[in-house]
Amino acid sequence: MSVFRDIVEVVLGIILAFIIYSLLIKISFKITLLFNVFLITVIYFALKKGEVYGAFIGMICGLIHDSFSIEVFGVAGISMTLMGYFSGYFAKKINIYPPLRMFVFIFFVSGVNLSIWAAMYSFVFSENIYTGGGTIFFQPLATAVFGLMVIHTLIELKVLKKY
Amino acid sequence: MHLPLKKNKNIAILVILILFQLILISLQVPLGNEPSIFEKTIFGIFSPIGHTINFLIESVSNVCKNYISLHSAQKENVELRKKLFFLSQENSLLKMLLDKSDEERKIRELLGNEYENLIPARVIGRDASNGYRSVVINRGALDGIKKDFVVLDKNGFLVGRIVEPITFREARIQLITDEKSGVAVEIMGKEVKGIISGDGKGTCQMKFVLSTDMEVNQGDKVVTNGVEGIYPPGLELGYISEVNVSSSLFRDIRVITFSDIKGLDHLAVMKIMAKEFF
Repeated sequence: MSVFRDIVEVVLGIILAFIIYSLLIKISFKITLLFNVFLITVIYFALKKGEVYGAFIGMICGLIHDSFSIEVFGVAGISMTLMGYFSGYFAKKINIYPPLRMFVFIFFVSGVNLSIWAAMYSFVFSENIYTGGGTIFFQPLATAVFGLMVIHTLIELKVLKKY
Repeated sequence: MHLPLKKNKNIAILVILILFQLILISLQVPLGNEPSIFEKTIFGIFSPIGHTINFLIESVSNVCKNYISLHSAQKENVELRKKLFFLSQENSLLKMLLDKSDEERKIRELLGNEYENLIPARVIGRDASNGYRSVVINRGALDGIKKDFVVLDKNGFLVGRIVEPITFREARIQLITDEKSGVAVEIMGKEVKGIISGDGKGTCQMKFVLSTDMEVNQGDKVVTNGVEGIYPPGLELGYISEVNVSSSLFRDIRVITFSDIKGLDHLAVMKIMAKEFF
């Protein structure tokens, strides 16, 4: 019953992330370069359920990202799988729940995710990523601010419990 | 004793997941540009969500619009927009037909089917890594969409072509601004031919124009010439914005698309293939 509940929660979380992503794209596709909604979902579930869940959900979210782009399928998947795993792992080792630490943590995870994705993209395609006029370089900052707000709201609502 | 075992198990799972995705990547090599079944499945599961969101936004926006504007004016406006949409497409196709065919009978035959050959569509999603590469539309296999159908914007300017994956109700369009796209073109009124491909930043480059070819100028119109067998000849694509003379064999020509790729919304899919059309 608990496993079933977990699966439902994960599916709903991913669908919600996809809905937010679709809404952002309706406003402007450059906004999706700024806020990595899927990564926030991955971090949230990694904090809540641990590194293995984080890696699985990272893989699913990354592959969704890849299926909606005309590129090699699996590039974003690998970077998000790694980030999902390490988010869950480090959340157990260090206390990342104070707001400032949480901000730094999401900023770091988002920056590393972007770096891995950009490196893999450049390796596979032999070309640089689309930066949207430099917008993408603000992704760690914007994702950290947005992620901090979302995760702290969920902690306040007692949806997410601190370890 | 328990903890290291669990830790190793977790790392093993991570390694399996990474390997699985590396296999997915390597499986795409023999497929070329064709998406794998796995990719098609994920696209098929999530694209209807985008479709529904688009429908909801459209519905809510329509309710608001109807509320604040007079009902009759709104109705008339919708009708006129619809008419304008088809007239723009028709105008573009008529020009194209008249340019390319001198047999009146053939023209009449083709004109009779114009409306039937267009499928109006709306953009419901954009490429997740670069919005200038591809978009997703709310029309799919059930609407008669097939691979390589040509897509025009609301003014009849070339936007791109249908590529895989195509689900029942959604399909992906490769835009002309994608770096991997290729459209055979010529400069209107001049014997200068080349290939247009995108730069991934919203503009295009006209490649393989020899430095010894006839002179080209800023503002010259670029149209398709149909040599690649996908795009029908005569479709207007853009105009030349910059010509750089270099010491190389080919000229460096930049082209700005007529279509506003960034703000694409209403589109028209040409239901017929280039070969059938001409």
